[in-house]
Amino acid sequence: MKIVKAASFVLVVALLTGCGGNKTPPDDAMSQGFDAFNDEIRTVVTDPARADRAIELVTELERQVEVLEDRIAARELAFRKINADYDATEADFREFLDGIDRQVRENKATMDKIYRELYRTLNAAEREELEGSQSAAIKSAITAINAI
Amino acid sequence: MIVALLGILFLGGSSGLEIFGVLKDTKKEVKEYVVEDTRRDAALDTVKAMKKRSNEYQDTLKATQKELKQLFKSPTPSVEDLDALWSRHFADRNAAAEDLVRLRFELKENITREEWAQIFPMPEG
Repeated sequence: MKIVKAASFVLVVALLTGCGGNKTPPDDAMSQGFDAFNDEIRTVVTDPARADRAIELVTELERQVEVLEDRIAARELAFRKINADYDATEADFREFLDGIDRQVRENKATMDKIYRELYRTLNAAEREELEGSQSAAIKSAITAINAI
Repeated sequence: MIVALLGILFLGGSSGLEIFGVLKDTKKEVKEYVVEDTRRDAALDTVKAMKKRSNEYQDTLKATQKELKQLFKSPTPSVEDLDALWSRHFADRNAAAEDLVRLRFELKENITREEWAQIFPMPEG
């Protein structure tokens, strides 16, 4: 599978450096980006059944981004509260951080499952064409996710 | 795009430690609200140490980014290699979180309850 190296790296860098954090994600742009990407799937994957399945999986990815957005906002507020509590103990902080760790690992398991299924659903040529796309959809998704 | 999205979601969005920004970026507030010189200086030293530890973690993340980039150069990144990278990432993150929590309590030692409430007001909601 040929990977969109530049786009992937930008997104992963955005994640790893924890950029954004307090900004409001441009949800409309993200939604439009996913819609456009789904249109590309319809064009590239000519087998309707597999195209439907691929779109289902991409839609699930979009849903996961929304879940993530909510989780980050909740996490920041919860941390501010626990930190503001002068009597909070180290155990309270550890419990809180363990909760974040569980969320992240849960995410990873979910994404791993989606990744494997998407990989199986698309053939090599389709994967290459979709991953090689540098469309506005990708740019919108990058912008949206950077803002999370 | 798909791999990129998965990369983001694998790690759960940002590093999970950006929440500590509320602690490490408080130099101005500590200077303003901690009235006693000795305690203020000690508290500022701790804030500085937090910033340093946070920056060290950012450097580690940058190294992880480079590795991730290399892995994604492969036509099919190996699941084992990716798992190893995530495992190390979690370990690095947990170590940094432990250190930052320890420093948070070190900071508290030099700040009174009243000063703390001014520096870190309880958020609404």
